[in-house]
Amino acid sequence: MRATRGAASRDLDEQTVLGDIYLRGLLRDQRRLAIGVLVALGVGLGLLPALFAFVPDLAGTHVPRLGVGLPWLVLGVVVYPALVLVARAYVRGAERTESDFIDLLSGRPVGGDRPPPLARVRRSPRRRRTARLLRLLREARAGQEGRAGEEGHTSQEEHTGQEEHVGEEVPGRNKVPGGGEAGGGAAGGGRP
Amino acid sequence: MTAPAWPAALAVAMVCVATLAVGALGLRLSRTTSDFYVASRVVSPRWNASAIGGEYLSAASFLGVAGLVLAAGADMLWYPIGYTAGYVVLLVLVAAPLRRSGAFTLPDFAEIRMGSARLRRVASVLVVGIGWLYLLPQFQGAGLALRAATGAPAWLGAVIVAGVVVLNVLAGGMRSITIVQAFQYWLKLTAIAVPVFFLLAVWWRDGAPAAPADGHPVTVRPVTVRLVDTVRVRVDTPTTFTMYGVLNGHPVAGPVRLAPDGVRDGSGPAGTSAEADATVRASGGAGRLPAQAGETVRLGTAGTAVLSAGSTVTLPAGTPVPRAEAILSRGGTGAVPAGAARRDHALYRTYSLLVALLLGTMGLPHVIVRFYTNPDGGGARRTAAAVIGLLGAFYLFPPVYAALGRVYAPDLLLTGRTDTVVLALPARVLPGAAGEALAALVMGGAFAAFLSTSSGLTVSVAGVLSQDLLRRRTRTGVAGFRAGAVLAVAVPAAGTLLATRVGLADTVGLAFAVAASTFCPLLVLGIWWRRLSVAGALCGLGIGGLTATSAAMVTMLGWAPAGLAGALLAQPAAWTVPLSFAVMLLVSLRTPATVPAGVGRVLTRLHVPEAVRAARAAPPDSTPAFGLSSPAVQHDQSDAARHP
Repeated sequence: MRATRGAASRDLDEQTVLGDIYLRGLLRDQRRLAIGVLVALGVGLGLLPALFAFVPDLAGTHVPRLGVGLPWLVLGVVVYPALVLVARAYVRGAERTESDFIDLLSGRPVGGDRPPPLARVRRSPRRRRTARLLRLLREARAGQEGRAGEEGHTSQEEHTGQEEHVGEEVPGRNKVPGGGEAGGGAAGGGRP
Repeated sequence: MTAPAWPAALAVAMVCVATLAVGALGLRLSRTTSDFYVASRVVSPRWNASAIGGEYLSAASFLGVAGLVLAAGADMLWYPIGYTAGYVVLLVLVAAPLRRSGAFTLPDFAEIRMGSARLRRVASVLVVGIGWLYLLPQFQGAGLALRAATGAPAWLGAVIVAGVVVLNVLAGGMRSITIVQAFQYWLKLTAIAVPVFFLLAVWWRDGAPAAPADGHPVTVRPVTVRLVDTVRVRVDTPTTFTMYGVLNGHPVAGPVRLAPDGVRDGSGPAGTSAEADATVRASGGAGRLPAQAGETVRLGTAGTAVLSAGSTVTLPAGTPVPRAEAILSRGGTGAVPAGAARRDHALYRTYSLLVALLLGTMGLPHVIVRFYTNPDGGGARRTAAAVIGLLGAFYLFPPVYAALGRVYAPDLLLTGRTDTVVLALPARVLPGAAGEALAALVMGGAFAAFLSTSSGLTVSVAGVLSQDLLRRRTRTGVAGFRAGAVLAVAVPAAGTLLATRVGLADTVGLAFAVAASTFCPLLVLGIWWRRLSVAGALCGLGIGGLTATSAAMVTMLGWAPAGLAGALLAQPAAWTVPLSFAVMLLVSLRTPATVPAGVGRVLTRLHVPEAVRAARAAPPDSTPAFGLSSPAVQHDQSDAARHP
């Protein structure tokens, strides 16, 4: 496992095709998370000025006992806890993406150290494509190693065993090595 | 100000001494060049977040926000929201990758990402420009605050702040600054929060008088003001008050009535109004008709009247307070008070302000340099998230001063000194020693704000100056940094002493708009887009910087036309930022030849967690890496190309 991780990070470092796929996957996940958070932030904040401008009743509402209008309360107080929550959610999401990425590099079950909440089953077609692609590349590497000799063979066996275990335990959640039985379907088979 | 000067002066002295003392602690710790620049990158998220909060909360936050909200109402609450939400954007788009880039400064980032010395130079110039732009109002604000609280000459505050900052930076560099900044965040929070509870207690005891709603503040009780400055005021409704002094250049003694143009009232025959109207119109030109006591002064379309320094104005209870539009003392250019922001196209102004603040935060040099001091990318992220909590906690308080100021100190609108509401309110509301003590506390907090922001800016500007301008002239890194620090402070300090007065909020807003139009596109596209080219980055920085700077300069020099064009120039970010992004994108797509080689390697460095890189550092194992020789790999490469 350690060996695989070292190799994968070297792929990243040396800008091989596999490294590039790893990087694109990571970038895509992080970008998607960032865009989601920013859209939420933009919509949440961006609607407020228009709301207060076009619904004068809302802006004119007086908060009883505080002696200020509703906009003061919303813009002066309520906004800040909301921003903190958004920030925390993003940090959690980004750290999860990174730990998934590290799992992916190590060949561990992705997200295997976490309890499986329902909302986290993210399986987009692109993600599945990447997973298939990575599996093929891994197989190609395994083939190379097999030709290379004994050491490589040992490490490959360990590797495959790990994946089988994963495939049984958390079906559908491991993004990449999509199951132990290699060679199931060509890369283009399930592609739309 | 009626309170004696010594408690406030003592508080200022104590803050300066404490700052220097805490900084001296760092002196023993700072040994290497890396210590000076980025505290050797070993500052924990908690310390770093406090330090960032301390550094970020400048005079504009400590004094300016309350002043703006007092003057112009809830719309101005978008300023602190923007300052805070800017960190959310920074956290999401920039924090971790920037830390992982391993750069010291923004020019470093430009060079690491784009590999272009030319781009680096452009970035250096922008950093120094934005930094100086931001330092200038800090020094000015220090002078004004010290004058308001103690009557000291305005240059003294600027000199004190500049001196303490230089001493501190010279002594300890970034490490000591980190400790100082963290200390100052908590000092500022205490200084602004503690008086609020006393003020609210008094307000509650007074029967919780409601702050007049948005729109025009009205006096709750009779107020008598002696004008220290000559002010040009505007009224929205006919307003009667007693005045002894000089109105529109002519002596008056007794009741005066100001009415905006187009308001009909029954106070006299139409001819009188027209005549009075002529009076006001003529006051700026050659004609001179006396404005007599008891007469309605009908303001022309300009809608303003000039009240001279030394006049005494008494506003009865229930009077809408005439609002100062400009402070005309010292003969020269009028300082624009905090609340003078024009209200036309308010919605556009609000959105454009939000764009500038949200996207500008990431481009401020003193904000960015802080993230290099985190141990890793995850630390940078956690730091940014913690900062948002600290800033949010702080910004709960300035609006309270503003709301209470509408009840207890509406005359600040007339004198145009709304920026001093935080300093003035404790002594107004709580007479006696308690009020004086609290006034001294907020004065100390204000100075902490000036000192910490100036320190952070000085460190970042000094870093860029010493790396890019002074490198060849000094022998060691530390000497270069010290020379840079002196230069970083000297230029804006000289500017403060020599230059005309520019509104604090204006300059800070300009700095945000320029940062949003230049570094924001560079950082965002540099971190998230592979195809950014050197030519695209250069063009984007140039166009964004030129348009934002010139728009704001036109506004500050008073050349802007009225109406939508004026609003577009006063708040340029809503169009300059998209323009800069568009230029960077389009030019990059047209000049693929100048896309730096090895962009994948740099992006790997920016985005891949440190844990992976640590694994790579482990001893090499037997598993061979992929080569391009394998047919299967080649097949999949073409596959990948078809499905990027």
